[in-house]
Amino acid sequence: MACIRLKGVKNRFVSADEFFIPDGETCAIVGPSGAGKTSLLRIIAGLDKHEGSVFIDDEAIQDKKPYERRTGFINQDLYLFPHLTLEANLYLAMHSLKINRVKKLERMEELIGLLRISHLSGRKPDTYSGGEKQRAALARVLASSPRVLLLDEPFGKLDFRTARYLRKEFRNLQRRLRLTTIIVTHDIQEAMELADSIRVMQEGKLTSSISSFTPAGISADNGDSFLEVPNVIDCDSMECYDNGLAQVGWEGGSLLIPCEGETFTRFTIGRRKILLGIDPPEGAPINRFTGIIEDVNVKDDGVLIAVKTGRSNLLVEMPCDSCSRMGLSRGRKVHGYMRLRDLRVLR
Amino acid sequence: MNRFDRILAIPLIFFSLLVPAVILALVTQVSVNDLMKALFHPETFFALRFSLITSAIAMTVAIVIGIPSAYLISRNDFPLKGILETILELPLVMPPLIVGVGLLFLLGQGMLGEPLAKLGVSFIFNPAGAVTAQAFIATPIVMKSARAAFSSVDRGYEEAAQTLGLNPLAVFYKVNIPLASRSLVSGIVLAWARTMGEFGGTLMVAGATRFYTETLPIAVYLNISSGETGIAISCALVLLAAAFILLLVSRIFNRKGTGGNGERGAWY
Repeated sequence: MACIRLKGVKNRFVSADEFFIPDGETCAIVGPSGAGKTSLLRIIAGLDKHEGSVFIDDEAIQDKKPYERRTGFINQDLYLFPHLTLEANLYLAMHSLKINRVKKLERMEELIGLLRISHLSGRKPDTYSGGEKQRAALARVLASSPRVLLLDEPFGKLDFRTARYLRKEFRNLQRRLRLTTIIVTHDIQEAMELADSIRVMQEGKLTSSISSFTPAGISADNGDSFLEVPNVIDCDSMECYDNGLAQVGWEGGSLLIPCEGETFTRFTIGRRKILLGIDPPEGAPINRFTGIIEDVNVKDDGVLIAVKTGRSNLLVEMPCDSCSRMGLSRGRKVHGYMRLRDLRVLR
Repeated sequence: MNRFDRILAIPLIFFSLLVPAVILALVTQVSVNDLMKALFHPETFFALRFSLITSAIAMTVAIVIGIPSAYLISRNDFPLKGILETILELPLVMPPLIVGVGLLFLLGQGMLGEPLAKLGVSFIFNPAGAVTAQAFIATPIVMKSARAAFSSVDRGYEEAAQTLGLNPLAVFYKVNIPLASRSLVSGIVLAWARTMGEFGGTLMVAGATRFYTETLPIAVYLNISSGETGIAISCALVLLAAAFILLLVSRIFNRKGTGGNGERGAWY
């Protein structure tokens, strides 16, 4: 257990005057590509040179080498050692731990059980699937007994289903371990799903924090136009099925949402993920809604449309030419569609 | 195969025939009986044993110097790095005879010769001279191939290992050496083949004394000079066989991956 504090940290890519994550909390850092998110993690891990101070608890670690810091860093490419089996990867991660061989083997077995990767035993990483590699990397970093976890786009390279499953697993793991964690992602829905707090990074600076997971809260705290802030929607009712789906009541109708058996009261969908049209969409009548356009704002890179559907206010972004082709304007009735895969449960 | 490919095949066929023709020309110079006798001649045995021992010691020296140096250079940038790399590669393109003359003047009566003599150490006209010349030729080959091998290992593995708590020494021998092992072994084998066939440098530094500083190439030279064609050819064939085996090993290592396809094995 440890808290992380940065003070006056600066290098070519990052400038963070003050940054604090309390003990046991998960903080997500979101921002566009090239914002300096990964550089911030690399600074904490000791992989990049910088000015300023980095503290874990009250210990200043900025002068320590990466192998002395005990910051569990998982790069988005994972870097499982390809010449070693799963056990050997984990055993090597315990190289610096001052425990005997028997304890190491016990710890290894425990982690393999915890991450449910016993079927990978004796196999090398080139035979694992994407999700298995992710779990193996997590097991390996936990084997090194880190004080904090630094995850760089942890689910960025996985397919939708695997990412969804692993996000849930990661949440459960975090509940058990309570390791102070920083997750870097460009997906704000993922950040909202995994983190206790969210910080926004732009041009190397931590510009704002998102303290409230509601559209109003996000809008109030965050004026960064690059960020595709998702719609956060309250459910009227919720029923979870065994097939990885939940049916939620919303605005007098119902929606199907991917879910791993958890109970939830809110879900999110990105502004660019909601599809609008003047006529009802073709195909099965699932995840449809109707609404009235309340506002149309032309921006640099598209149009932001506010749609009122019963109690909910949705924000939808679309290209200018699509908007003008359909003649969308204030007061017009529209039909909307939300794809199953774009809906995310908010814990 | 199109017409252009058929034209390209002409030089390929020409050289493919030339290599066995040269070997055949060597073999046909002596009768089978004479060749067998020469192969089991004590001088051939001595030359083979001497070549294996000196080249093995020379390769040890080349590996001890070459691999850490290559690792250091591949992992760091510093001023005049390009010039240093060029200097280190110079022996690769220097005629071995010139290398031998240089070593002779350096270690003989020149700059280092007298201080070494006072310590009772000599590298001139003795087996140590053969090792010195061979090591001098082999080290840049090992260093160059090792530099390429280490540069091809993604730095991400090294960083991952560091953040897992491995110190630089552990990163070197538990991560970088295994990940670069395929190219390293291939380079070492090629350098060994080159060392076994080293002649000019060894002749200058160690001299050509029968049953004393007689490597396989020196044996070929001495016996051709004295008209003992049988022993000369048998030594040449032994040398060719050794080179063939080493090249084959090098090819096998190049083909074999480090990752393995789900193979099981010892892990600690």
